[in-house]
Amino acid sequence: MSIVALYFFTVIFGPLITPHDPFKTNLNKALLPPFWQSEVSTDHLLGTDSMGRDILSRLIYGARTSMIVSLLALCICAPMGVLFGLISGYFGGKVDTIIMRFTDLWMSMPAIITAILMVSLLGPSKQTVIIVVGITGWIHYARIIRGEVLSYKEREFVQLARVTGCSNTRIIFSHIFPNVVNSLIILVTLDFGRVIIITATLSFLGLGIQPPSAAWGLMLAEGRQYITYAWWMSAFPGIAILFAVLGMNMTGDWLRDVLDPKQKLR
Amino acid sequence: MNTDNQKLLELRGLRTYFFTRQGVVKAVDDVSFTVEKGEVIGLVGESGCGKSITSLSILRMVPEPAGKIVGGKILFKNENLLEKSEEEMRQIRGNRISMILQDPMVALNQLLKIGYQLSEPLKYHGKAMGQIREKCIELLKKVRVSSPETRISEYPFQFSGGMCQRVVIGMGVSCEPDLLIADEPTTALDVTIQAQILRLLKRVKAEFNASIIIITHDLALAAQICTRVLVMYAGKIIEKAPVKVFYENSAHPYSNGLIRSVPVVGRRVERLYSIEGQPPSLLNPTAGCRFAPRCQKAKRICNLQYPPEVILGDGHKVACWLYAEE
Amino acid sequence: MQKYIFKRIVQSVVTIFLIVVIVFFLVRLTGDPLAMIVPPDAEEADVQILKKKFGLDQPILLQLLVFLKSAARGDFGESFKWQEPALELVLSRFPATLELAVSAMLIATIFGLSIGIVSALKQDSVYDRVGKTFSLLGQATPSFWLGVMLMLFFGVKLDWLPVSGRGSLLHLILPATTISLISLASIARLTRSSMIDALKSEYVVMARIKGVPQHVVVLIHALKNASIPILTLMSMQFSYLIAGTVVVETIFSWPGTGRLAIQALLARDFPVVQAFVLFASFIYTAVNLIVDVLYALIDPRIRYQ
Repeated sequence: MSIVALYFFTVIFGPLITPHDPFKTNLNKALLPPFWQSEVSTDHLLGTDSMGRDILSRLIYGARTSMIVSLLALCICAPMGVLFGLISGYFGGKVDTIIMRFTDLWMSMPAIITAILMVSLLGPSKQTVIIVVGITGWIHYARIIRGEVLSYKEREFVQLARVTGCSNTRIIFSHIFPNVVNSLIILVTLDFGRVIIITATLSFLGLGIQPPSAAWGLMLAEGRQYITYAWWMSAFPGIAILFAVLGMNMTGDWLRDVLDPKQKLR
Repeated sequence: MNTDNQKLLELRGLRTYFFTRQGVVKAVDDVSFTVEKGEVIGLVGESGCGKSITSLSILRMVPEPAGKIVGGKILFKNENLLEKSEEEMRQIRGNRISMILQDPMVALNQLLKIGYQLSEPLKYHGKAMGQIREKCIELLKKVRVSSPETRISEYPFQFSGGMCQRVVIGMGVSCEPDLLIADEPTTALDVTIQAQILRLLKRVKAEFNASIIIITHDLALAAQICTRVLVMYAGKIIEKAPVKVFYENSAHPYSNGLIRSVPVVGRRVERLYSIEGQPPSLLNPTAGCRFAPRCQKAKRICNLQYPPEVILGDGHKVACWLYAEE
Repeated sequence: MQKYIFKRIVQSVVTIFLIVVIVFFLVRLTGDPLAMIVPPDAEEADVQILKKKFGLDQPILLQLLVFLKSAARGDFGESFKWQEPALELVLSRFPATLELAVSAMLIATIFGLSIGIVSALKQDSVYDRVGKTFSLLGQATPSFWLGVMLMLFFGVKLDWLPVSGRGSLLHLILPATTISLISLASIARLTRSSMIDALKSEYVVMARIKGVPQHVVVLIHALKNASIPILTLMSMQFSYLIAGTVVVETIFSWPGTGRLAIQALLARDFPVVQAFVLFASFIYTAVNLIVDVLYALIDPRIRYQ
């Protein structure tokens, strides 16, 4: 929990706490090691990269980029999944069959393959990453929300709403939706970690966020070329990702224990 | 009276406790009884009174780490089972003492062939080397499963509940055990099947000359097959009697209540008798008789001190203050 | 049994067909496929000639038909970068990827199962806690970072293992370990929980009542039942495995299909990318088919449906 809080703090106040300008290059100060290995200066806490940019500052900016990209991607896949899940579960019948067949089909393509196809069509960029993650991630939401809706559909309060003449739209959004919000919160938190890793992976492969932006995956890709003599360039961004994902997963598990005591979402 | 060599199993002051977060559950609390060769004992009581835990204790299969046998002796052929190593116990289980579980549909592994499951006791107790298949077919014949040659390579889901229980009984008697424990062997089955299974148990007993402990809450069943009845209530045995004595002349108010609550065909009653109240929690039980809060004949002392065991006749014992001196 | 497998094969063929159709429409919808082939400064007349050559002046359904025909023949055009037929190129790199994927899957399965089983048997012991922490960390570690770190540690600092290329068994260790870690962690976690459930079940109690030795109870009675959810997970993990090979092949310069795909992608070599996408989907569908057959082998209830 505190890890997550720390990350969000960094994201929001990032520019205020960075010790250096993350984009300022200074070749004289290139590849400085972190402070405990450095005899020259302790100015750059986690060292500098091949262009002399401060790693810590870039990490903080990277947190912003990664988090914002991940959040935007979630903003696409969660509502999309929820909408299809609600429709599929509530109306059932043919609509349900078509949507579920479609998710089956979508699942029979590994996410990375879809990503490669999309990137090859749209070109590598931040927007592409958001779209790719958005459209590969919604299936999961749709399926789980559908399952939830099915269990609520026959309950008294929905029947009652139907008898009193509420429109379908109204029943879905004011009667069923509030009941699946808890599940949705858990899903989004648990999914956040996955999305962070995917966006970082795409950037690492050169298919996502492009230089000179500061993003964790990108920093790692740059660091890889200097692995033999500047380990800190690769090590720190990875650790940043690891703790972000770990924090999100643990928060998700905790939320599940609190909001979903019956452990439906396994 | 009884000499030691007729005694097959003797429990002396057995205590099995469960250590839970809420406290210590005394599931079996100072239980003593004997089983003689060829006897059929009915261990009777409401669900949750400790019957099943007693039988699991005999096999040393109390679910760990929560459950633990904390005291007493289990003498099987004059050897204390509580002093045996795990490997020695394994060689006794399914071989000298075997057990039949309540629901055959879940007791059989759905993914393994009937023949395989049937052959396991034989295989692991070194019986019938090399001719296991023939032995299994023979066993299925004995428990009256039709066309055993083909059924042996089928799976449990292709069997009906009654057929599954026949297989489980077959597994139980495959090594010709001295003692067979049947835990609610007919509860999960249809009424018509129940009678068949009961008949099968009787035949098996005659054929293998095994002693049987039948755990049940069904007094009618106990009356049909048992030679002796033990009544268990809240972790303690409150009455022991030969079956005839028990049904004609039961002593403990709880036993009387049990018998009166069995419907009898042909007798018209306004309303079937039922014992008031709920069985007590086994968590930190009171010092007195555990039935006292529900007992209509309870005296002052009943709530204060546990009653001693009183001998009323040949093999008829009861733990109740109505028959004891204060 | 035959009927079940036949049904699943038909389903798989339909799935592959639909994927081909979807890929076709995605390509046509998201832009002019010519733009990916023709240099931006090409003459209008040349563009027209190319359009004719690729049949792009035909109605879309006819184009689909042509596309399906060539896809069925395995003809996805020629690579711009390597001047070879695209599918042949992908296929020539496939053995390397297969080697990597199979070893990674073996590592993940063997270690994942054993860690899970021991954790389930020794619940809440120190060992169990270490296992839990390990799988929690394993699920949060990005594979590309792990690859780079393993490379740094075992390749550069200790100089024990080669860090790039394909060759001896030693070359295989680092990339295969990197890919397997995430799957290993989740297999261990699921094995633990399903083994705990299985060990509590009545049939396990029954087996012990029969005097079956502990190792047989665990490995045959409990594990066989626990393996059904584990198999489901493994078929899902295969998708991560494909992603893993793409990433890890790039890091360790492993000459497989994944690295080829990324190279082709960055070089805008569309025929190769398309061939890779369809080939990977084909393999993925085939693996899912195999998993379904395995289900039937483990669970007689499916077999006799």
